[in-house]
Order: sequence, then structure tokens, then C-alpha cells
Amino acid sequence: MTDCTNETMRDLLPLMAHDVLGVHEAARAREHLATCPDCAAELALLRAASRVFAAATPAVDPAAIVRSLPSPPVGAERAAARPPLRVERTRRAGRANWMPRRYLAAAASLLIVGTLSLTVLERFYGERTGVTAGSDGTTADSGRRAGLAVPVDLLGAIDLADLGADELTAFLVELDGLEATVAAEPITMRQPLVAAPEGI
Amino acid sequence: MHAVTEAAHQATDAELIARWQSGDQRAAALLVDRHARPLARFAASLGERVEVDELVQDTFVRAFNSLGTFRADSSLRTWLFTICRRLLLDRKRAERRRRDTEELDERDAVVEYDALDALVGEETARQVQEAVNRLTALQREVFTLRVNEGMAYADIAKVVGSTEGACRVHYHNAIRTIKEHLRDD
Repeated sequence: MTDCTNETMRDLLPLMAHDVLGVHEAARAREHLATCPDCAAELALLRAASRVFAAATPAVDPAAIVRSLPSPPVGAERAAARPPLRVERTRRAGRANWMPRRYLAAAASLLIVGTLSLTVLERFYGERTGVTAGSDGTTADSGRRAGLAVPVDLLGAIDLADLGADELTAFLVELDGLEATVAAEPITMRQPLVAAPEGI
Repeated sequence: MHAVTEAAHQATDAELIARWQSGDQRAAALLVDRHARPLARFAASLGERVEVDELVQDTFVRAFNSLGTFRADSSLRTWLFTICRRLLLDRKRAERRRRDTEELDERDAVVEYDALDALVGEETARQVQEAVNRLTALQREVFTLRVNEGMAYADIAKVVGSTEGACRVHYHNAIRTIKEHLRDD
């Protein structure tokens, strides 16, 4: 018995003996075997060896094996037994926890920017009208006359920590309106209007 | 009912593992049915004679206790063979220690191989047995997995802890040795 020089085909012989080759590979192997006595003899040897091994295999009792197996995991144990799923759940949970934090950070940023803007505006209009915001009942009207959408008495006395939920909501609504008002424009654009001669 | 049974038998190992992890004990029975005999054949071909059933049982118990760590990088079958081989070598080592002999080399693990005693009367079986006896332990493992189980070299490499290329060489050397023996006989 000699060796065929076609190593690729020889490598396929054990798989052919087990009928695990694909359709095309099996057809190719059969074609080769028809013309190669060395491979045909080797395949016969492999089949004989396989039969001998199978015949020498002692019987096993699957039922006894099954009885000896541990119980399927349940509850937390089951989760521990499936780490990929656990990782996936952790990721989802992490994302769910993170999303509100992002919105909170955005809201906090908006509040800070809004507060700073209002402080600047209050200082500016306080100087222009000679009234400190929140000092008397005319302040809100003065502010509105200047084009400010937010009542100045509210602005001057602002301490965010003291605001209730409704007040805070109203405040945010006012802030939204503020962005669209003339008063939010740069000072250089408002300057001519403020400096108009009184005699006209 | 028959259709259900047939579908269960056609389920992949991964599906059966998932079902067992969900509490379905019948999935374990299907997995055992599917892999017990190949494991027994492997153990017998490596020289285990009297305690094959116990070895196969230990293999499954260990595997099911560790299914949570099974990452499916390889097939369940490859994983089971790896566990079985490790258990077999451990047993051989323990046996050798009891006999107060030198430390077991993996090459010695199957020196006493004669699992084919029952077939000695048959000429072909005798010839094959003698030929296989001439193989080194590693050659025999690779040859057995390739010929008995039709395993790919990549899977064999995982079982015996070697490389795909080395397993291919071991297989062809094993075939050459067996052919030479049969030619000389």
C-alpha cells in the first residue's frame, strides 16, 4: 500500500468515511477514488479501523449519566450561567441610568446660562432705569417697557433654590421667551434706541 | 408528538444547552444521547477499559457543572472530548502514582492499550490493533479523533492542545506507521 501524492484528497478520506463531506467535495473525492487505488485502499483501511474501534467500545448507560447530572440552574444561578446575556442586560441598564443624567446635565447647563444672562440683563436695565430689580412694584413694568419678557421683580429676587416646581416651570418658559425678545440682542444694536434725544 | 421529538433531536447543541439552562432536563438527556457513545469510543481507543462508563459520566457531570463558562468558541463535542481527555490523563497519573512509578508522560497514557482484546480472533482487527499499538500517544489520539469522529484538524488541535498543522502531520505519520505495519505483517 503506497501513499497518493494528492495530500488534499488524502485529508478528505476520514471525512468521507464519516459521510460528513459536502456534496461537491464528496463528488470530487469519489471521482478521485475511482482512479486512485492508493486512496481507495486507504479509505478501506480507515473504515476497517473505525469499525474495529466501534466494536471495541463498551456500552454506556445514558440514563444513569443523566441521573448524575446537576439540576438546571434557576433564578440568579441561571443568570450567572449565561454571562453573555448578563453582560447585555448590564449594558442596557447602564444606558437607561445614564440617559436621565444627560438630560439633567443639559437642564443644569441651561439654568446656569440662563441665570448668568438674566443677571447681566438685570444689571443693564437696573442701570438704565435707575431701579434695582425687585425693589418696588414698578420694576416689572419698567422691564416690560424695555422689551424684557421676564418680570424684573422675579429676576432680581431670583434664588433658584427657593423656587417651587411651578415657579421654576414658569421661569423656564420665560427664559424660552427671552431668547426671542429684542432685549436679548447685543447692546451695540440697542444703543441708538436708548440714546435717542429727549426733545424729539 | 413524534414531530416534537424529531424537532428536539434536530436541535443544535447550543439550543439544547439554552433549554437546559432554562430548566428543561430533557435537553440534558438529548445531549447525553448525542455525545455519550463517541466519548466512550474515544476513551476506549485511548486505553481505558473497565471504567469507560464512569469516565464518560464524570465528563458530563464536569461539563454540566461548568456550562456557565462554556463560551462556544469550539463545539460542545470538542469541549467534551477535551474534558474527557484531561480526566483520562489525570486518572492515568493517579494510577501511576499509586503504583509508585515514575511521573506519567503523556506519551505513556495509552501504552497499555488493548481495548480491542475482544476482537483478537479477527485477523483484520488484530492487524489494526497491532498497528495502532505502534503509534505514539499523540498520534493515536489524533488518528482516533480523525478516523472515529471525522473531526477537523482545528478541533483536534483544541482537544489535544496542539496546532492544526502539527495534528495534520501526526495524522499522516500515524497512517504511514499503520500502513508499514500492515505491509510487514
